[in-house]
Amino acid sequence: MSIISEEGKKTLTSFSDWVSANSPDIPAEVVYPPKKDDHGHGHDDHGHDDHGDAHCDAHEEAHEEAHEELRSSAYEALHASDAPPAAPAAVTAQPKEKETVTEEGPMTERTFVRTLGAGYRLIAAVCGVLLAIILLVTVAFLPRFGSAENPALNEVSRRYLEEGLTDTGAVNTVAGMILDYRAFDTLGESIVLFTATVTVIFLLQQSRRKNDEARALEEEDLQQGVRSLPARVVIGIAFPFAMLYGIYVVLNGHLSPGGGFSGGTILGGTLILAHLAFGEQYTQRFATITRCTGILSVALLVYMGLKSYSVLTGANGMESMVPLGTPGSIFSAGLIFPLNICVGLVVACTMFTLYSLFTKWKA
Amino acid sequence: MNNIPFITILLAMIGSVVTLLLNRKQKLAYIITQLIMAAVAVLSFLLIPYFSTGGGTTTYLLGHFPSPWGNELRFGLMESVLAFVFSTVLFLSIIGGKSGIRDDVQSCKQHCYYSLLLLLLLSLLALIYTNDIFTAYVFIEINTVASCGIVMVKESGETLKATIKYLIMSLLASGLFLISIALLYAITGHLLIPALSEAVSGLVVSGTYHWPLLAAAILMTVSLGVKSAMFPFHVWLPDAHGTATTASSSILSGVVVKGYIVLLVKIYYRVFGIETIRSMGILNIVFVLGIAGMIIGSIMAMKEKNLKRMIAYSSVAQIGYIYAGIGVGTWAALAAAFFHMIVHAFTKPLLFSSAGGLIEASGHSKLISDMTGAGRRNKWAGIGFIIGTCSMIGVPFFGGFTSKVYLAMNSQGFIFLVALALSSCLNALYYLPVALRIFSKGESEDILEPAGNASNYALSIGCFSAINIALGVGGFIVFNMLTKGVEIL
Repeated sequence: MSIISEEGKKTLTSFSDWVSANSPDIPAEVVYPPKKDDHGHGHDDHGHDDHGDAHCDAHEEAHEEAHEELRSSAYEALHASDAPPAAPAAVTAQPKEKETVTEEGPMTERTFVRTLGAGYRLIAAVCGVLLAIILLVTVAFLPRFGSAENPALNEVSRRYLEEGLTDTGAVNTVAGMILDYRAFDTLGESIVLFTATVTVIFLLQQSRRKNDEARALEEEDLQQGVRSLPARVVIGIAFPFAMLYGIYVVLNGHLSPGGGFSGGTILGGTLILAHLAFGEQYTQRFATITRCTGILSVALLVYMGLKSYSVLTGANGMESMVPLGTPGSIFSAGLIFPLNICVGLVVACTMFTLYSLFTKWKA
Repeated sequence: MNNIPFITILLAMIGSVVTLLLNRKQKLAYIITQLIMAAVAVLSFLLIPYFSTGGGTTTYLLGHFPSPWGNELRFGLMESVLAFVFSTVLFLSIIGGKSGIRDDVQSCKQHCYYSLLLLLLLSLLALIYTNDIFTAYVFIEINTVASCGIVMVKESGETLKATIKYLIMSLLASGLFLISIALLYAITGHLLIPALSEAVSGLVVSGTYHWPLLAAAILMTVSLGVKSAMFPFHVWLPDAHGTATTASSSILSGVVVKGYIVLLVKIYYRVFGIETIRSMGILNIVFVLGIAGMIIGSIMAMKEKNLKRMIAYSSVAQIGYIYAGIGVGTWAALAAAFFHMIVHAFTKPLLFSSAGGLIEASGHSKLISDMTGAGRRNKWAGIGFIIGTCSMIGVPFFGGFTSKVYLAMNSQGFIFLVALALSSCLNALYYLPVALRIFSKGESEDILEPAGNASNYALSIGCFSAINIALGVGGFIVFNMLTKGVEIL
């Protein structure tokens, strides 16, 4: 999957690169000399082990190679007197690549695209400024922040504040709002995190492969953590307390400010710190990507189960059988307590999974 | 009966989590996905007779708290028809694109792909059923991330580039949508649609906060316009739809784009009220942009040499039809626009699936010039492409003809009629040469062997074609249903 990074870099370097790369008619070779030494044939060194995707790897590698060959041969055809006969061979070998190198357009077309790019940038700037002005003007027309006549201070927020305790049993009104009144939205938010995790797993999960020396060194850092002693000592001392604090914030979500989202962030952040200081070898003992995804999925399933119980009873006119308990005690507020734990687990696992996927991923 | 929408959403949710866990059993993940899609389609179909005889709409509490406080779903005839159409299209597209998924997605990652598809279904269902604009925003987020995910599955350079483009534009649109919700909340204090629309109509009568209301309406139009590829915001669409794997292209153009249009219509009619939108002038702008999309999308499609990109540009034109229909602003025209939406939802996946087959049959080349005789090598793809072409051009007895007739009958003016005629001619100009080319004899006949078809591919093409012809012949039944449906929207 080396092609990802190469193409990605090309995409992100600058807009004009993007424009020239995006239009097949423009000979990009004129702008970029062949980079054979950089990555043209470097792939032969990378062994691909067969983790069930040998086919895909081979295909993509061929794709990249053909691309490079075509590009370099086209360049030479343009600039050197002795054009190598490699180009037609590459074309027939990889008919799939035809769309990227259809025909070579005239030079005027390139300058046309250049000016088009500049024009786009100008239009983008004008649109951005206009949007900013419109939004600023709109804000000036909005009701005054914090004034008592605000339209937002209506029966909705009044009920949340005045009857929140009796309705939901949660001392923390925010927890009552997000996990009881509007718990479906919060379920949606948890699914957003889940979706992000799935997408990143999709993009970054790859089979292991051999690394060159620089990577091995980096790998060692990842495996064993940073070598800075103060960082290891401080994080070593703070780690259990931060974990404990995160758990406290999650469990007391319905009693004090905090809850699943903030507590989960603390937990996830602590795991990331431990990973930074002591390396993967250490965190692997209790948190791997597979395990985190598993916990994330199970927590989400539990949330869905509990929420569907409350929806199915609420919508069909039945009373919820879950007791609200005494306000202020830890086992109170009905479903809010377990839902907070689920949200906390989802957030912590998402953070840690995303972090470890990004550190593991190599171009 | 009333629990069905929530149960379908719940099924998709559970399915998406379960399929992610099946990382060693890709086949099982596929079966579970398809079972859930089929179950959602059947369950939604059960709602249609219930609402078409009983009429009316149902609000469904998501929890124990009623309208201004807790989340709600609301559904009637329109919503159940749309849910049925969307889940059916998803089901058939996945069947038709299965071989493409096998080739394009690494085998160790296919379960992630199925999980994303179920997340997409879930977000679409929630967008259709929701009675709360903030819930709509949350599920727009899911939809955005999941659809970017299914664009990039091929993991080649061009799909990643297309994904980044799509992601940036989509996120910009999400941001604008969130800002407009914040503006609406600041001036009304409500998020649930019934309470919100009451407050908005109060503001319109009293004339206070006119500017923030206008800004919110414009931002909503722009943001959902970007996401549904309304004409000047369509630039991401050809890249994203043209490079993704066949199943993804079908799903994105067939249903994902439509989900946002449905949401925009809901916001126009149920939050602001169509008279307010009309007096703000937004309806005229939508109409003009729709007309422009109809013409310019077709012209862009004519210039394309790449088959999938050509079909993608044709989507821009078809979305233009839908927006022009919405922009007319009468009930009948809105029903016609929805009818066109349904026809397009069944036609574009047919075209993309056929294109996938044709590309495979011509040595994986996407160029139209390499397609000579491809339809003879892959018969089902060829037939599917011809039927899709007929429907898009508007040949009588195909779905596209009926929907264009209904749009023309409700066009309310000369411009729309002319644009319809012109765009149909342009459609014929770029679809027919391809249709002729794929059935003409070429010299490549001997090099490339006839492609065999899996039975599921034939099934998918057959079903899409049959539905297209059914919509062409018996379209009035669906149209009458939609006319009834939009009035209680």
